[in-house]
Amino acid sequence: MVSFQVISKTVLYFFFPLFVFGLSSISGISKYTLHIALLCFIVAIALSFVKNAKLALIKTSINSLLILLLVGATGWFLSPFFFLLYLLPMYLGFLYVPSVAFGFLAALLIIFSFSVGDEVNLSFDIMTLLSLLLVIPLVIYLRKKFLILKQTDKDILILEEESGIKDTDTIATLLANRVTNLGVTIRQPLSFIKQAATVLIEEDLSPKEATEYLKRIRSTAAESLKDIRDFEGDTSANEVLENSTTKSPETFDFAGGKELKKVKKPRQ
Amino acid sequence: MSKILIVEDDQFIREMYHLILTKDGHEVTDALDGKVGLAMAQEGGFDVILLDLMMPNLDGLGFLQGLKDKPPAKKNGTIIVLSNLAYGDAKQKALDLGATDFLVKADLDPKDVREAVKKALG
Repeated sequence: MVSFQVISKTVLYFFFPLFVFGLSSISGISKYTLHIALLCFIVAIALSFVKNAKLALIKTSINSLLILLLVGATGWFLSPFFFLLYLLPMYLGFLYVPSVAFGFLAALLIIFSFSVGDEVNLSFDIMTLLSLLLVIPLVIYLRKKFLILKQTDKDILILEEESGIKDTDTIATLLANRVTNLGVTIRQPLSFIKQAATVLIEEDLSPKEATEYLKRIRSTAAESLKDIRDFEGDTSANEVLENSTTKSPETFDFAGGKELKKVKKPRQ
Repeated sequence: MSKILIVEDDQFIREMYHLILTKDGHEVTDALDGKVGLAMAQEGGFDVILLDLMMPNLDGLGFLQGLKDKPPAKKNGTIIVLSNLAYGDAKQKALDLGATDFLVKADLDPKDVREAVKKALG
């Protein structure tokens, strides 16, 4: 099922070229097209310093607008920057989904179809339109290849640490596999949590000892969560969110007021 | 009173085993890593050694190899490997190097550690 986001982006990028074409066709505004492009360029530069995932669509829209204004201001079909109109739908197809690139190209074809034969000559104009159409299968093919490569990259990532380890080093060889490493890394704190809980239930501990064990269980659980988050961050393309108030599990106060640095199991 | 050496870098686990074995009346000595543990084990005289595998400076297999290469004058007793590296290769290597038993830490309860020590002491 096609999501609302995909449809909205496809519509947005379909209207972008039409908007810029309309803008560059209005006699009162057309002479300022290059100025607007320069303004977009400055905004694009400024936005590049802002690291905020929510601004991604705005950034891409400004960049697309900049390219369209640049090509529009310098003569569309005859613009020396016309090649950017081949690259932009590829960029959109990679960034979003091919349908966004198709929407963009459809708008371009509509714009240029009105002036077929008027720009250079009929056959050249038709060939140019056909070459723009060729971008569609190219986007599909390259995106498919890109996704396969991305997947392969993840597969390599899982085992990448295996290189350079001597066959005789049993522990290092086992831990070189990231999945094994995660398993061992997570089993260690969970073993402690399980056993410490048993000690709390079954052993005759003083209140001070019991409090210390509870603190250690909490700290160890936090450490495990961090290990899982780190693993996800290392091996997947998804950014794992973390609350800014999350405290490091490495330290905590003991009942005696002494600060303890937890010795973390080494990832050899 | 039996002499037990715990070679374990994880402070929480080491102190937990120390606590339960001390409560059982054993004389427990701790080693923070394989290198320190090996130096202690090479002096000999421990009835049971509880050994972790993944440790800084010298891992558990290195410890076993070191002890095999340079055995103590006064023999140690049973060496029980306690590890979360729950793989056949690691277990086989540990047993080949002189460990008596291999227990997966994640499957253990404190009473299992007690029983393993009790069994080792005969």
